[in-house]
Amino acid sequence: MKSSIFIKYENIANRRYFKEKNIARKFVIFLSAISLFTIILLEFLIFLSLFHNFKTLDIPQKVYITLISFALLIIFYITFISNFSQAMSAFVVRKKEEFLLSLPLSTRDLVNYRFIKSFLISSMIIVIFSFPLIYSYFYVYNYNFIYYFLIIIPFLITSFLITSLVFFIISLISAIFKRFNMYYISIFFYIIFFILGFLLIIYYLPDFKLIYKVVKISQFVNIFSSRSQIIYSPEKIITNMSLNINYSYNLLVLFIESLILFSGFQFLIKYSKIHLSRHEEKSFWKFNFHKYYIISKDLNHFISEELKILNSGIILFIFFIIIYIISYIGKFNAGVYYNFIFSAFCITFGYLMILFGLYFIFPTFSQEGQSGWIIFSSPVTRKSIFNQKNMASLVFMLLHAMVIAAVLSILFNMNIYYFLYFLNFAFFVTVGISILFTSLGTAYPNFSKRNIQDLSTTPSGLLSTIISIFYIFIPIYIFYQFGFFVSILTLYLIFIVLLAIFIPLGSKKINTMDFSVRN
Amino acid sequence: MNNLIQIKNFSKTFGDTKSVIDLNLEVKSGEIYGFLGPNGAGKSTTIKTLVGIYKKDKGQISINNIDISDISYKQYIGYIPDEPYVYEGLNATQFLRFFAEMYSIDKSQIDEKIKEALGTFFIDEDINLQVQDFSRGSKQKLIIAAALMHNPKILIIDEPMVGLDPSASAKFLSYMKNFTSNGGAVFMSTHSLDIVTKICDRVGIIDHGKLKMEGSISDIEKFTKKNSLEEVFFEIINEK
Repeated sequence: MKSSIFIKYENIANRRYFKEKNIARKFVIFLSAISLFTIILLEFLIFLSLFHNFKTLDIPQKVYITLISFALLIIFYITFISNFSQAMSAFVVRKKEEFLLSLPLSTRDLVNYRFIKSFLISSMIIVIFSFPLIYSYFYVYNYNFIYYFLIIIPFLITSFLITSLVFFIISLISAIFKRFNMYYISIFFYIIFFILGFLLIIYYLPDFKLIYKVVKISQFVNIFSSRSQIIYSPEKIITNMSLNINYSYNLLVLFIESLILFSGFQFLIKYSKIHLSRHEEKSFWKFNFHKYYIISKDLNHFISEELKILNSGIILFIFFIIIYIISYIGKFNAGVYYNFIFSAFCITFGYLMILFGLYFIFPTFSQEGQSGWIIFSSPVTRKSIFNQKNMASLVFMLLHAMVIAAVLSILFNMNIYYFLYFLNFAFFVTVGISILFTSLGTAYPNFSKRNIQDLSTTPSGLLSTIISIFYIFIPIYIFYQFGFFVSILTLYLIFIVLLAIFIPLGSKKINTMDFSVRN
Repeated sequence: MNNLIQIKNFSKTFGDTKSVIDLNLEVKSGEIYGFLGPNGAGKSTTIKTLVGIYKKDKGQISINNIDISDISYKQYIGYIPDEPYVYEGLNATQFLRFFAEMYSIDKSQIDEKIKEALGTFFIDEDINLQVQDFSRGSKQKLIIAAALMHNPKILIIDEPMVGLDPSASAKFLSYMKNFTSNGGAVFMSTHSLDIVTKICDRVGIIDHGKLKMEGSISDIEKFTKKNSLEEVFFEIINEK
């Protein structure tokens, strides 16, 4: 098992990263751990209060089955798509990794090693999102302690099932198409995910619609009880098992499902002569702005990286679902809660922009990486580099923001008053975040790291995120408390302050910086 | 002398580009073979196929009489790429240990092998530093040390001297000479005609994926009636 050697040495490298005597890094690790703990705790508290209310209202357990299984289904869906983008890279060999293929190591070993990594990542996602839900339910209904431990097993099996399913699909594609092109495949699956996600919403949304017409608890129970469900799907098996330990035998079905998929994936890897495909930069179209070659380069670089497109699509899609649900609720609550729901709507939009900023805009300068010397030694002023980076980021952010804003304003059924506010909010938030992330990303780059995750958790990445959270929350809070005009004025004011501080900062830092990869 | 590398009718295409077309060549034990050609001629494609990074489209390739579809051949090769990269978060010792385990070196011998490998190419950097903090040259020395640790029979090298200082270059050249005199074979691609002239027993010149000429330097000069390998090389390249 050569895969185990990989895992061992990657662990050594990772441990070294954590052990290093770098105060900034230690601070980031500490802050990340605290954030993670807070998220889990908050989730736990929200679910706890929800289940307490349900218990007080004496809602029967049938409702929980539907509610919990729906929540789990969403979590598993998110895990599946994030695992998919991770697994896609397991079948691609990038230039820097080519060397691994010269070692006495079979394709199977290499893919299996990446399978284990994917399995661990999906298990982590499932633990973070699912455990607070299930544990708060157990806590409210005084379940026996043994349930807390037993429930870990089906979650682990589900994680195994999801990873096996993903690897089975990708190995099947590579077995059929041999040297398949990742770019086209990722676009194809991006569309498939959208269709699947919409089907999922259409399947469940009628319930949300009916909830607003409910006047009696019995009606509410009937709506949920009437839902047809797939008995042997993971979320259903887990919820049934949570209700009654006697249903544990269903785990066997889940396990057999996973084993079949895993064996299928192993069989394909072993016998169909799958060769890891080379990472080729290809795209449907190319941007070509003669004068702004850095913008062209960055945009072309973005559209040639299939994983970036896929990730961007996934983030967009998940938030589209969330905002769509909020919009849906908004339609039925045109009263005292409308302002509150509208605020939640704006915050979700802003949060989406922060995520885009953090993942795609903040690293743009650092991602010049080792080839950064090219732009530094080119006959372009550093100020022009900075301006073009800002322009590229703006084009990217505004393209995304315009699509979301246009579609959602229609869905939310806004009147002119809310529409004008949202238009202002969307535009100034998008431009402000884009400039903030580009400026701080340029002022404090790290050319030795190309991994987006590593870059976004640097102190400057964290600082940009915190500032942008305030940038979104302050105007919304003022809107909620003092109304339209004061909020818009605050938004303009913060926007001007951001521009006045961060554009000169980025510009000054880039002018005085020495290009160095060794950090 | 037996053939340690044997390539028959090997072809490789990327999309619409024919990178290598019907390549035939052999490298015998005790021989240093220099593979020359301009950028994009097909040198790296050939090397990467030999070491298993690319899959061949057509033809037969065997190393130490083992077809390259059988992974066991990798135990006999040591590959030195032009751009080394593997787990930059490890230090030099851990990096070499990773290689030793990959090549199934006996656990009781690993420490000794690492010591020997570190000594052979006098890596100047602190061996407790992470590889990412090494200079380009030290990284290259480390990758050479890693490639030699499992005592390969054949060395496959892409641009051998990139990043090495003059003293390390000289040491490595003499190592290659010594290596082949003990029955090993070296197959290397390079742009440096000086190095080829200095150490190669035979040379192959590839252009546009086709092997244009092959033989010992003196035979090639005699055949083409030229005074130096440089003249021969430029004439072949200019033919296009």
